[in-house]
Order: sequence, then structure tokens, then C-alpha cells
Amino acid sequence: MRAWRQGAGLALLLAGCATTPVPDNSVSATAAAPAAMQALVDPTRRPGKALILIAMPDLDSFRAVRRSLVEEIRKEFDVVTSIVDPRTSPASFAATLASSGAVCVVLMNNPTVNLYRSYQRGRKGQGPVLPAVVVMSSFLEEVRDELDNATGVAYEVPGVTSFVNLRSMLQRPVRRVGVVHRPAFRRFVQRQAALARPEQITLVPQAVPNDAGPAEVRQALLSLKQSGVDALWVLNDNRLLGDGAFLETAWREAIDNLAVPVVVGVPALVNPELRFGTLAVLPDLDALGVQTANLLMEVAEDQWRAGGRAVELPVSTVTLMNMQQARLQFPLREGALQRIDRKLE
Amino acid sequence: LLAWSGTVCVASVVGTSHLRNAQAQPRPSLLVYLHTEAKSAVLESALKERLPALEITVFGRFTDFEDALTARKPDAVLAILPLLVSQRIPVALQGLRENNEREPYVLLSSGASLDGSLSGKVIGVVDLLGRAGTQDFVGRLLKTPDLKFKRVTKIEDLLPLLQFSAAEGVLVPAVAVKSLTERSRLPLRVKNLDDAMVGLPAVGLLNVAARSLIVGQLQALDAATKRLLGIDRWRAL
Repeated sequence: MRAWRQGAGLALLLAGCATTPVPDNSVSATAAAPAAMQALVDPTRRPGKALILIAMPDLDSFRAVRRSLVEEIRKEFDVVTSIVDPRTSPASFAATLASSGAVCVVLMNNPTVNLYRSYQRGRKGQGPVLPAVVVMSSFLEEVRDELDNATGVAYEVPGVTSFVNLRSMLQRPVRRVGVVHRPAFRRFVQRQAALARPEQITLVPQAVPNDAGPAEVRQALLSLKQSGVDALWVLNDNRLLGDGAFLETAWREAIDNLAVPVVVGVPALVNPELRFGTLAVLPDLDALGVQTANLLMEVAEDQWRAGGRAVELPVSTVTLMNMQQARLQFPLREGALQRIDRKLE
Repeated sequence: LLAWSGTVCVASVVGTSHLRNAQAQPRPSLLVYLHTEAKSAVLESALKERLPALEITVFGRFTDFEDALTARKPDAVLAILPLLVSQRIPVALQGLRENNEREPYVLLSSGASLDGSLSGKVIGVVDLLGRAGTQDFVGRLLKTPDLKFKRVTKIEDLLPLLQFSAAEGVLVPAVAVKSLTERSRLPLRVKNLDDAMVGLPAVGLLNVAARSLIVGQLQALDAATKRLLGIDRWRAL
């Protein structure tokens, strides 16, 4: 069965490591635990097979994506994995790419993408760069224009996926979804609103300053209550979620007052003990590896021209439901339980 | 009530006979690769509970299923008929729904119609037979050799392909249209396809010695579990 882990948990989340949508070397939104101690083993090289280089941090969530990716492409390609960590320098990364003999590189996480960006800058005027397929890197759509011959799969679960999941599970209607965001997330929120519109869901954004404190967050949630929303979407923004005390003073009471289901993107926030989220919708890491493999195969069929391809949105998710909330506040539709991956009591 | 009692009786007999055998030998293994509306974990849990004499493993990803088929040499496989045919596994039980052993597939699109040639269109499809196998199979089903594919691992992942405009249409069993349209407010259009009929779930047997136990257990499944599999009864072959 699918192997994904809730892992990390509240301690990391509240330490401010887990809430950023950027799955950097610390933690991802799918809650990476420290990597298993078993060394990553690449399949044996075969003569005549083109090589794919995978550059990634050695953490469980990345391993899960790598596993399904490798299994999907292993008939067509050989694979070599290069572990990237905070000690990896731009020079050593560029040397790895240059000496690998790979036809394409798969980049996982933002620091790895930054290293690749340095490699591209260093290659300017020196011929073509190694094409790249990026996965598990946040805000890929924002940085994509800064990369040559690269494409990938965005990491953030689109809001519409979460909202439609919620709507299909709850008996109550979900037509207007509120979201509190900082200015840095404005374009992201606008794109999410456009994606949700055809599903007849209106995203109601409430902006707060970059340095918003508990009072500003509470006021934003109060404004959402006054404007009338059927659900609240909490972005994976560590600055807005902060530590445990911030969560308590800024969000908890206001969420209670709002009295609507809360959709989150971090497993820890849907833990019933926290009395916060109703439904968590996370990327399905196995399927993300398959989607990445499919994209890589398309790039291969297109003679390794990656640049012209749109960044794909992740199509597959897993759902975690806070069953206490479902029972007490937000009754589920008949058959909804069959569509929930994990029920948290 | 009589029919229900009969089912319980059969299940008990199979179960008891298994318990005796179980002490002497391992349970026959049944690998399952099916795309249903229920999550794989739900399907696996239901099958494990209702087929106690069998060692059940449900796969959500084709590659995992394919690997297990090679490495573990199971006693039986539960999958849609085309998969058993492609793997050359002899069929022992064919699932039926309303007396049909095949079901129609349709194309769903959002907004724009898919009337006319499908040539060059991007079609979303669940991974039925692996990458190459699915492309061949769907190309033949749609009678269009030059389709482009977006392959997903679960039926529910087809809807996002339409929501994100990542595919111009998605191929689904006609029976799945209702749940997709209930789930979505997109202006979904259904294109019926001539002769796009696909075999329903069937049980392939790789170990003839385990036939009676495997067939007996599966035939004794209750109606709700059969519905979960997308069938209402079996026909023994």
C-alpha cells in the first residue's frame, strides 16, 4: 500500500519549520521525517541506456517521490542520485552535473533549484544547459521564468482540489472559502481564485501585513466572518502560523467563532488534539513521483526540450480528516468515509 | 433472508475449511489491482475482512503490482479483464454487472465538446495496464493512434486534469460519470464512444491447486463488497 508518513508533527510545525510551502532541507508540508538510515541505492547502469540524474536532499518525503519516479522510468533510463545538503556548493553541484553524463536532471527542493540556477548562470554563453524537471519545490511557477530549459510539477496542492474534496465530503454547502494571506501570496491566491471559479467556489481573500501579529490575524478572520464564508483555507505560511502561542492567540478563538470547516495543508494542523483543522489535503508523494516520471518521458519524447512546457499542478492528493470535528460540527455525506485516506480520532 | 442466510452458510463453510488448512499451509495469495471509487486502503480492508482464507494485497500503482506479480508469483489476481489478458493469466471468475461482463467507457470534457476527430488530443486516463500498455489499449479503444496521454494513478485524479485544463478529455467508465458530476460543478460533457467496451473485474488463477478455495471465497462475497468491486455477481469459467 501507499507509503506516506504523517511524520514531523507539531513540534516542527510550531518551530516554524514545517509550515512554509517550500520543502527545503528541514521539512516539507508532507512532513518529512529524518531520512531512514538505509543508503539510497541506484539501479545498476546498463550499456546504451540514457542517464537521468536526480539531485535531492536525503529525507523520507523526497525518497518516496524518488522511489516511484525511478520505478516508472527504470525500463527506459538509468538513474544516478546525488544527495544535496547544506554543504553542497554551487561549484561542486555544477561539477556533478558536468561529470554525470546525464541527459536530464530532476531537481528536488528549493535549495537544489537555487544551485541549478547558479549552474545555469555559470554556463551562460557556453552552450546548452542540462534540461531540468523540478519537483517538490515551492512556488515553481514563480521561479520558472528564471530557468532555461526547465519544467516541473508544482508542489502546492491547488486550493480548488482541497475545496472540491471538502465539498464532496460535507453535508453543508461550500460556496465561499475565506483565506488570510500576506502580500507575498497575493498572486498565488489570485491564481487559486481563478482555478476555483469554474467549480462555483468563490475565494474570499483577506490580506494582512507582512509582519502581521495575532491582532491582525484575528481581525482578518473577523472580517471573513462578517463577509460570510462557508469554509476557511489556511495557507502553509509559517509566518502567519508561527509558534504554538501564536496559533493560540491569533487563530484558535477566531476559528471557533467562525464556526466553519478549516482546510489545511499540514498534517499536524488537523490533529484533533490541536482543535484547529477539519481536513488536510496533502500531495500524494507516490503519485507525485509518477506524475514527474510522466512529465520527464514527455520531455524525452520532445528531444529534451523542457522549456516550452507549462509547470504542471499536482493532480493527486491524500486526505486526512479530523473525525471529532466531522462528528460534532460538520456531518459527512454518505460514502464520504470511503474517500478519506486517514481518519484522525 | 433465505438468500442472505445461504451466503453466510457458504462463507462459513469456506472459512471453516480454510481454518483447518491454514494450520498446515500458507494462505493462497490474491493480488488486487483495481480502480474503484473507494480508496485502495478501504478496498484492501474490506477484502481482508471478507476473504480471511486468502492473503490479500491491493495495489494502488501499476508498477508495484507488476513487480509483485513477477517477484511473488501469486496464486490469483483480481483485476479488470484486459489486464489479465495482457498478462496471459487464465480467468477463473468473470465479474458481471446487470448480466454484462463488459462496461462502456465514455469521454468526459469540461466546456468544449470532443465531437469530431480525437487526433492529437490530450486524454487523461487511469493507469490500467502500465504506461505503454495503457497507451496502446486506449488508442485502440478510441480508434485513434496519435493521442497524447496524461496518465494518473486514481480515478479521482482525473477531475483535476479537467479543472487544471491539463487534458481535453478524460476516459472513464460510464458508471463513474455520476459520481464525477456530483463532485464537480464544471460544465462536464459526456461523449459516448462506439464499441468502447471494457471487461469488468475478473479473477485470474495462477495456481490451479488453490482454485476451489479462491473461487469459493470470492463467490461468497456479500453484495456490498461486490458493489465495491464494481460487479454484482461472478460467473465461473
